[in-house]
Amino acid sequence: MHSDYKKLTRDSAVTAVPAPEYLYVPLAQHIGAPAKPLVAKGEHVRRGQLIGSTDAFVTANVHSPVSGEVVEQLRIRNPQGNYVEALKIKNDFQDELDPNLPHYAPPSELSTEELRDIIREIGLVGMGGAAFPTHVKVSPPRDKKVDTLILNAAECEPYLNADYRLLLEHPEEVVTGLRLLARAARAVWVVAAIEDNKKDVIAGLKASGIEEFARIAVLPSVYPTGAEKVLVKKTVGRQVPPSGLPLDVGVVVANVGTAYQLAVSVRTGLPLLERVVTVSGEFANPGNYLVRIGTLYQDVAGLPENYGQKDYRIVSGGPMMGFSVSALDIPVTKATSGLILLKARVFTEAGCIRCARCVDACPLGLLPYQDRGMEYCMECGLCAFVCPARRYLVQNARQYKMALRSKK
Amino acid sequence: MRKLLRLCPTFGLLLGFCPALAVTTALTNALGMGLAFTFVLTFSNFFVSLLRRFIPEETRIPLFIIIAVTFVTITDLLIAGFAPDLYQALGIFIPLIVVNCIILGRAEAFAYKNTVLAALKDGLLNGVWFTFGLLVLAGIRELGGAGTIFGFQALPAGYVPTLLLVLPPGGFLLIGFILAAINEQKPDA
Amino acid sequence: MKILAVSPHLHSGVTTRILMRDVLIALTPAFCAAVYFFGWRAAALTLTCATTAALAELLAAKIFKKENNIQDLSAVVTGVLLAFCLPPSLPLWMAALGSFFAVFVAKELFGGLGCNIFNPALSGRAFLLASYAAYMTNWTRPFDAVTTATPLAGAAIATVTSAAAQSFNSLASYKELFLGAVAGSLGETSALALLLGAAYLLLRRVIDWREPFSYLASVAVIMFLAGQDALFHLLSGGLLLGAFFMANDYATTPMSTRGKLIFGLGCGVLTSVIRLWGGYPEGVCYSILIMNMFVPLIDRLDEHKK
Repeated sequence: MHSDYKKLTRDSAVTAVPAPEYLYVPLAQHIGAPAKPLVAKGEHVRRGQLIGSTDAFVTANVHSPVSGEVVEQLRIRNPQGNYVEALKIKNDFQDELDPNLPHYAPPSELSTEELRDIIREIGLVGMGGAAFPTHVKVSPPRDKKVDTLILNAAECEPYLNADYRLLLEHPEEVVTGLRLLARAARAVWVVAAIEDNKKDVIAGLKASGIEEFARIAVLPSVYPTGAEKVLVKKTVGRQVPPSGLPLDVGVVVANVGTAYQLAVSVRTGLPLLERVVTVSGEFANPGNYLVRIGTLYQDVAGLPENYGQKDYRIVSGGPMMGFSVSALDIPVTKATSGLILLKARVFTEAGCIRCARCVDACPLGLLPYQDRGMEYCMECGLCAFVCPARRYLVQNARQYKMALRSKK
Repeated sequence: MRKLLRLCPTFGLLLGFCPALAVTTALTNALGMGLAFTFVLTFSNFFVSLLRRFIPEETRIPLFIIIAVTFVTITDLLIAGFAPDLYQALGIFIPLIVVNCIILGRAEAFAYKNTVLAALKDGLLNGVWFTFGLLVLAGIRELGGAGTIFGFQALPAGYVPTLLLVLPPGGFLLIGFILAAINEQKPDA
Repeated sequence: MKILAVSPHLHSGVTTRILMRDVLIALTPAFCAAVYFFGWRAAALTLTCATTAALAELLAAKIFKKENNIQDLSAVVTGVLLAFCLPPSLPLWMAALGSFFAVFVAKELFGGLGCNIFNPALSGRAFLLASYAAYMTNWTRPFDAVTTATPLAGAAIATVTSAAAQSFNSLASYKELFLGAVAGSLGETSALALLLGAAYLLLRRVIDWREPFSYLASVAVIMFLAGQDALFHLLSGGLLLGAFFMANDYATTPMSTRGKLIFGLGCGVLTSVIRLWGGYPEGVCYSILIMNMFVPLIDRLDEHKK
C-alpha cells in the first residue's frame, strides 16, 4: 500500500547540503539525561568539538556540527512540542575541524571495551526515531545476556528512504558498522532484516562481506515490519514482553543510520554531526539530503519555497508515527529521519461502524476500537490508517496509556 | 408534562405491565380492566386504611392480599355475571389483579399510613391514572392493529391493519417508544 | 495554516461512504436480475425503500438534533437490502413503512450507525412479516406475476408429506435456482447475481469471508446430514443474500475472527432448524436477528483474552 510513497525519493541520491548560518543544537536529542553545555556564550567552537556531555549513564554526547561562535544558550521546541535547552551556533563557514579529534585504530583491531567507549564518545543514538543511546544498548546489565543483533533495514514507514539510500550507496560502511556493533554488543548471531521491496541492496551488502558474519532475513514489506517488537518476532521468533525492550529477550536492534555512522566515525574520528533526512511529501522534487544536526526545519534544503505560508501538514519523521509540527523553528536532531509535507486536510471522526478493520490491522492483535489492552499499543497507527470512520484511535490509545501511567 | 405523567403508574413507575400489555389489544378490554382495577384498588385502599390499627406489622402483607382478594373476587363474579363477553376477553387477568404491584404498592406505601379519606382518594386517583395508561396503549394498538375504536370501524375500509401492534412484541415496542418519548422531555425544574 | 494532528498522518482513503458505495455497487447485479424477473415493480419497491430510508435518516437527525449522516449512504443500503427481501407484489406503502421502521426504529432509535443491535433491513422485514403476513407471503412467479409458492415453501410441504429429495427438483431446477427464475423475494432469487456482488465485495475487502463461509458451510453440512439436498438449500430462499449481505453487516456482527465464525455457525444452525422443523419455510431473517442478540456476548469472548 505504501510503495507509491516510497518511489518519490527512492532514486534520489543523498546530497550533502551546506550548513545554514545559524544552527540550534539541542542538548537533549536522546532518551535519557540531557547533556550539560561545556561551552559558554561567545566561545569559539570547531566542527566535531564536544559541546555537551554529562556523567549519567543513559545519555548521549553532543558535538558542534560546524565551526563558529556560540551565540547563546536558549530553549527551543523539539518536534514533540516540548521545550529543550539548545546551543545556538553562528556558522563561520570555515568547517574548521577540532584539533582534538581522536584517531581510532582500524576497525578490525578494536576491542569490545574500546568500541563501547567510542560509541559513547561520538554520541551515537538509535537514528530511526527513538534516539535511544547506543552505548546503553550494547552494554547490557549483568543479568541480561545479549546473543543477537538485528540490523533494522526494514524502514517500513511510507515516504522515508534515508536508510535505503545509505544501504544502496554505502553498503561497505553499513556492513563495517554492523560488524563493530556486533562486537560491541558481544552478539553471537547477527541478522540483517530487509523488507522485500529493498532487495536491490542485498547484492551490495553481500559484496561487502555481510555473509561472513550475518544472516540476511528478507521480510515482506508490510508496515509496521520495522517496529522493534514486530521485527524481533519476525526475524528470530522471540516475543518481546508488552512493556519490555528487545534486550529482555537477548536482542539488540540497530538502525542502518547508526551502523553507518559508527563506521564513518571510526574511520574519520568525526562524531555524529549530520544525518540523512528524506524530504518528501506532496510537492515537486522531493529528495534525500545529508543535513547537519541543528539545522532548523525552515533551512532544510529541498523544501518548496514559502512552504511555511502554504497549507501543509508538516510531519517530522515518518507519516505513520512522526509528529506534526506547529512551527518551522524546530531543529533537525539525531533522530529526524524525514520531513514530510502533506496537504492540509482536516477530518472529523464519525461514529464507529464496528467494521473490525482496526482489529484485523493491529499487528499486536489488540482491539483498538475499545480501550481494553491498549496499554501494549506501540502507536504504529495502522488502526487509524484503515478506520473508515476516521476515528482518533491512536490518540485514544495514547490518552489511555497516559491515564494509566498517571494512576500508577 | 413529565411530572404529570410520573403520576401514571404505567408510564411513571412502570408498574402493572402485565395487564398493560395483555389486555390493551382493544379499547373495550382496556376500559373494562381499568374500571375493574380502579374498583379493587379504591376499596382495598379504603379497607387497608380503615383497618390499619388492627393489622399487625408482621402479617400485613398477607392481610393486604386477603383484602384485595375479596374485591377481586367480587369484581370477577360481577363481570362474569353482567358482562360475559368482557369476562371472556380478560380471562385470567381479572384474578391476576390481586398480584398487581400497584395494589400492594399503594396499600403498603400509602393506605397503611394514611387516613381513610386520603387512602380512598389515592386509590381512586391511581386507578384512574392506570386506566388512562391502558386506554392510551389500547387506543393506539386497536386503531393501528385493527383500524377500529371500541370495535367501531374508525379508519377507511381499505386500511390494512398493522397486525404487529396487537401482537405481544408490538405491545412491548409501543410501551418502549412511549417511555422513550417521555424520558426525552427535559425534567421539570 | 498549519495542521497539527496526532499520527498517523496518512489514511487509506477508504471511508464509510466508500464502503457503503461498494455495497450498493455489489447489489446492482441482483437489482438488475430483480427487474428482469419481476418487472418495474421491483424497481419501484427498491426506489421506495431507498428513498424512505434516506428520509427516515434525515428525520431522525432532525428529531435527535444530531449531524445527519445521510452522505455515508448507510441508510440507502439498508433501504435497498430491505427491498431485496420483500415479495414483488407488496404494496409500495407497506415497503415504505417497513423501510421507515428499519432506519428510524431499528437503527436510529438505538443510536444510529454502529450502535444498532439488530440488522435494520431484517428488522424492517420482520416488522412487515408480523404486521402484514398475508401480503408478505404472497409470492409471484417471475415474468407473469402469477401467485405461486416459493421453492422452499414447496419443499417444506414436500417434506411434511415425506416426499423424497427428488421431488425438490421438480419444484425448480438447479439452473432456475442459480439464475433466479423462481418465485421469491426481489433480490434473493438469483444466486448468480448475488455471487457476482459478493465476489466484488470480497475482492475489494469490504466484507469478510468468515461469516458467509461458516454460515453457508454449516447449512450445507446440516442439510446433508439431515438427508436433504444441500445444494438446493444453499441456492434457495434468502440464504445467499443473508449470508453475504446481512450476516456480515458491520454493526450487528462480532468483530473477532473467532466471533465471526461462531456467528455464522449459529446462523447456519438456526436457519437449518427453522427450515427443517420450524413453522416457516424460510429461516434466514430470524436466524440472523436471533444471532444479532448474541453479538455482545460473542464479542466478550475475545475481549479479555489479550
